[in-house]
Amino acid sequence: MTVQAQLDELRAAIPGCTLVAYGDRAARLVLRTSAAVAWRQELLDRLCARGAHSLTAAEQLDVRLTGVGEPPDVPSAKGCEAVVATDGDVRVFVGADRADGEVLCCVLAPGADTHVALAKARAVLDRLPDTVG
Amino acid sequence: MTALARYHGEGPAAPSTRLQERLYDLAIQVPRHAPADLAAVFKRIDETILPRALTLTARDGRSLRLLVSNRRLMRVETTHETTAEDDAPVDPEAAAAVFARRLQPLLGDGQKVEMACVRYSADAFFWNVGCSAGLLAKAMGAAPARRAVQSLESLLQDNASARAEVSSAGQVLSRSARDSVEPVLAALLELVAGQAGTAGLRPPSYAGCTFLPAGSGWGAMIAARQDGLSLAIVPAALRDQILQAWQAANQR
Repeated sequence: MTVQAQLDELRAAIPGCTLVAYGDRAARLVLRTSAAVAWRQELLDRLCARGAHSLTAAEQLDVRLTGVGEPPDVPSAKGCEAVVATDGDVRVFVGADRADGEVLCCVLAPGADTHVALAKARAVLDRLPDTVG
Repeated sequence: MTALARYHGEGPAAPSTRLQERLYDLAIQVPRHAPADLAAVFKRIDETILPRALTLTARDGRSLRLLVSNRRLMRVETTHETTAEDDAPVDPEAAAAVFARRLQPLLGDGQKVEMACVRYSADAFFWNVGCSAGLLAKAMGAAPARRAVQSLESLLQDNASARAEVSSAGQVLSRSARDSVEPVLAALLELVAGQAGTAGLRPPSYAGCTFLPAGSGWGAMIAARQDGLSLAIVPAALRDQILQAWQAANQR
């Protein structure tokens, strides 16, 4: 399956998802998208930059907070992901383990289930490098 | 032209008709401050073709600058800007929602301000998505509910392990009594800023509400406020609840 087909499939599989963008964390550029409405390239690149920054921030915080103790109802949290709510949508970022790897971003309608989006995006991101390679 | 000449110093001290007002604004760079309410701002946006900056100043000194061109509001700037270009609105409806939220504290509930107008370079609008006065009026019609703001506040108060309010200048303004995690993890590692700009880009500022999983079931919340940022370390299980509460408190 091509990268484009996987992105299209991912967008269709996440309820309320309007955009899926696949980009390069280091270059902070969006390489491929699947979108209900086309986004301008500069907005896509800002989205990618925001994702790359948030993922790096998550990794740094993950290191520092380990050992603080556990809160009640502990879910398993992955370090290389981030979620940002804006005025009009929710943006979910999933990153490859390497800082110079890929980032996958899903833009969701407000109120969407981010757990579902993160899980599905993670599964696709894990497969994508093989497809690209 | 008579009217123009008048307002170059030869005529009366203040224009008396709307046409004279517009000629005054065209001819003179020194801004003329006039009282204005929300309706006056809408009207001004609708009548402004050439790029103009409208400065709105409240009695308590709070101020906003509105960049207007081609009968569209292109940008609303605060004196303590915390939102960023990286989360720029992608369509007019989204722009209206963002602008309405910024204007609400200054012009909501029938408040009046002083409005002044000066020329402005159109270059600043190059990539902005703007909105018409009509869309803005629609967005202003639904202010964030006070109850939604309180809901977010109580959610954090009941569940955060540590909290801090940070000014737009980066100064920690307050911390919660339950603060047990070293000064909210050194203001969340100095807002994890400055360490991620490997591509030479300015690290994005934290517009919106960012939730980062932070290991061992914890999450870090970085939420934009009117005058800075709110930081909290909370159970990661509350992520969606917090994001939805923030959106409810910050949407139109």
